[in-house]
Amino acid sequence: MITSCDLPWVEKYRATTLDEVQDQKVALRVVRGIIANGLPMNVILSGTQGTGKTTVARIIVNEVLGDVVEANVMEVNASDRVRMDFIRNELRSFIQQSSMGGGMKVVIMEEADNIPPDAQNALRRLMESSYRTCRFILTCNYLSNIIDPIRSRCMTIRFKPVSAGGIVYIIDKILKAEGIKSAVNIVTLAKELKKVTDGDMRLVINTLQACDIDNPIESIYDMLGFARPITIDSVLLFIKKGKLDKILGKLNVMNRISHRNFLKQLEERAFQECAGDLLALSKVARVFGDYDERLTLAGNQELQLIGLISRLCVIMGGAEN
Amino acid sequence: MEVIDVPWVEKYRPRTLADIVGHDKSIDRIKNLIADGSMPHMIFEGPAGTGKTSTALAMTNDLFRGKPRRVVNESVKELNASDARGINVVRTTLKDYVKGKKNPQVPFKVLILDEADNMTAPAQQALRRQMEKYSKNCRIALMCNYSNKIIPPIQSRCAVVHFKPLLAEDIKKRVSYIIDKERVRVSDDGIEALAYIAYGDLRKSINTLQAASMFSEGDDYEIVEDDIYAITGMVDRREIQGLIQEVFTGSLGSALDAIEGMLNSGSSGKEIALQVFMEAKMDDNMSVADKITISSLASDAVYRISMGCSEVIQLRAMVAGMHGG
Repeated sequence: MITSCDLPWVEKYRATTLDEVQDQKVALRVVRGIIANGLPMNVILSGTQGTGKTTVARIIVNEVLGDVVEANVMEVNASDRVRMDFIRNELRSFIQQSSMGGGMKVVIMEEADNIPPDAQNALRRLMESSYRTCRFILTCNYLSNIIDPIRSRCMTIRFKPVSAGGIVYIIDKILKAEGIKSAVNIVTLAKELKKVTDGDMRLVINTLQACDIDNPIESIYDMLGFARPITIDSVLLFIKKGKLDKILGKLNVMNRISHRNFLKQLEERAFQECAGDLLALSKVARVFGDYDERLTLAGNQELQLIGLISRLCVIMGGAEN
Repeated sequence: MEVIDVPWVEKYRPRTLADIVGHDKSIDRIKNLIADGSMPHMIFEGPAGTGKTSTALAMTNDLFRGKPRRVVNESVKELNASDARGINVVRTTLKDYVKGKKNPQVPFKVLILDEADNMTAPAQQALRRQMEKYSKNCRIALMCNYSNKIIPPIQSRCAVVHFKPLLAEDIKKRVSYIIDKERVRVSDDGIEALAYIAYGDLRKSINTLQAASMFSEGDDYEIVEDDIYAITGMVDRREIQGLIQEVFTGSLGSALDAIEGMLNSGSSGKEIALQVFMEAKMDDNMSVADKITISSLASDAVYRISMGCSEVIQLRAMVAGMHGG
């Protein structure tokens, strides 16, 4: 049934024109302006994973440079390579060489937020001194990790997490192209995918390719390390009734999944329960904040989760006891 | 070979001290310091984009007014400390300039050392020696973001001038001037937004303006607020104000939902927390107690997110704290 299975779907269905990029209306409007003006400024593409930053960076250089793109573009992943030495040597010499065809050169730096601050300072200088011949496109997840002097010298384009609507479009397109039929409604599937991926399109497509399409929703939750909704429902029910002993029985399930996912799922349901009681809602949100910190920084996951649930029992079960 | 016109930040760099917006007291002080045609060694301290380098260059222009362009150019050197900050550079390139012959038409040369706080401590020690030895020949102006990273012996040899973040009024003044010169059209709320997103960094405002001028669709297009926010990676100020309003008037539920909306529009958690804090800081009508609450909660949120905590959970905890506090 599937013929060209050599390429993973993320590559096979990677957008090659701006029209194919999903859901980034505001960003694309700016990007079109940049292309029309021939990339006149340095650019930061900022946003969470899988929102199309790299795809768009490549489209920009292709459009602006045309035939000479191979020779005049340097693409580096900043996470492991871009340090002081790299900037002073390799990068500087790339910029100083005259460009093929006489046009500008472009440096695409991915994950620029991982460049150490001292190297960012050196980079900033290079960005300024090479302004006449070279442009930089930086991509990052956390804009706040880019130093202010660089941010004030670049224009920033924000990429937003892909919406459920955008996910519907892409999975519909892929499933049709691959001739696969999903066992559940595509809109429902997209909503669930949005929840577990936070709008990370790469993860959406990878998950879609790997999941059991006859039973997609449960398989998605299992694959990405989330508790199944039914588990969360029962935990919440026990919290409301104050039955800590019953919850202890579920601990093996909770230990299998990452605390981050569990907190996220439980918080969402707990908010629904408290929607009418603002005092409880406020308390619940703060308790989650505290335990998120504990679980992230240190702490025995099992013990901290029990601690969290005990607090929730007091807040949410208090009225009924 | 030139690919592009000069960026506006360079094109509209002030030429004389009189052109500089804001910093009235600091500029007066500098004018006094150079009134007799001399200048001490100086440290200009302040955040990015407040005009340190511009002021230094304008100051040398004023100082050497009337001298031929060529003489001024060879008597003023701008050196950046970030890519040349080791002790070797201080002993070679820098020393060569500082002790090298000056043109007889000028009383002394000027060295502008950008980002001096990025110099290593040993390099600064070496510099200190040269400041003394060759001070007749060359005066040094050090630019830095944090003067506490400059070693005390250098600080005590310099006149320190502070640059505060520019006021919104001053930014609007300069931005409006450029808008006029470049014949772009920007709405009033667009100019407000340009001043807001900068937090006192004029370079950021000007760069943003130049960026925004690119996607004018047709010649008559007027750049509005939304265009500015689209290219800065910040949440619309109205949304932040709305969020604070909602929390304080009791609709916590919708505030919690708003957090999700902001994250879904692509802003990062730390930025949002920072904006909430800045809004509280700037709001003259907010009580001090509320400001204290917001500041401490925002600092918790930023710290925790930096440590790897979940953005949405921490921002919601922040909002809930504001509600309960």
